[in-house]
Amino acid sequence: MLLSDLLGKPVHAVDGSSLGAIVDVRFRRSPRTGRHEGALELIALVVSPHSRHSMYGYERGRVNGPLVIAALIRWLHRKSRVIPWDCVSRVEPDAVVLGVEPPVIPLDVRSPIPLTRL
Amino acid sequence: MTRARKPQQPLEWYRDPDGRGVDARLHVLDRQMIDTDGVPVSTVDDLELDGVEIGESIDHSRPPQVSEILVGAAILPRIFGGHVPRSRWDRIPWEDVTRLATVVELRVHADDLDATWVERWFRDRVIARIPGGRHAPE
Repeated sequence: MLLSDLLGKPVHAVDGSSLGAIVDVRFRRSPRTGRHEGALELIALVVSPHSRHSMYGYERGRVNGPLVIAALIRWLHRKSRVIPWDCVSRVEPDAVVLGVEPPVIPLDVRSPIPLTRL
Repeated sequence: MTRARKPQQPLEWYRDPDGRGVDARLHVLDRQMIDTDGVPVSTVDDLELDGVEIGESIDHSRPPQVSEILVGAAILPRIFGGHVPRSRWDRIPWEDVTRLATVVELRVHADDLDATWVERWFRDRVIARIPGGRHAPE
């Protein structure tokens, strides 16, 4: 599958409700081996309920200027969250369907992760 | 086969506390690639993910991995919509990547890649036939 097949797709929860669209895809880099870059493993989806556009790096939490643009992007992507890949059941042509209820992991690292029963 | 399940890692791990995370749009897409001699090749237009197919249940016993970097006419679908047919992409295996940093460094020569055939064709068939086109300016 191509990465562009995932970007922009809506994510549907177990009960069929929409959680938002995939705005980015998070990989984890394995250690380098010799002259080879480590493999990139898909670990999570970054999902935004209000916008399909890129966050231009503002989601990393350390950049906050120019103030107006930072505020605009923060508002466009309010309530963005990270959905672990483990929770995904299927990738359909028009949506990504989850198999279990995902925990709420706010994308902004400054926001605490609410305690949930697992 | 392992079906969808609760997260197997501590939740904070998914927010990348140790900096090993790579966000596709932020860190990979549109990055410049350079070959082993430092010659610019192209930019990353798309990635092929191994281990997940559209319409099939996902097996979580093995996480999907990036298998290839795709290069092609990605700008037209971005403006006009639609998709480039899969057969039209030029592919660079992920094993050829030596470093992913502010640029993507490859361990191959640009001239050996299918991804640069348009450039080579123009150089050999068009530029080389212009008087003075076969040597560097003096």
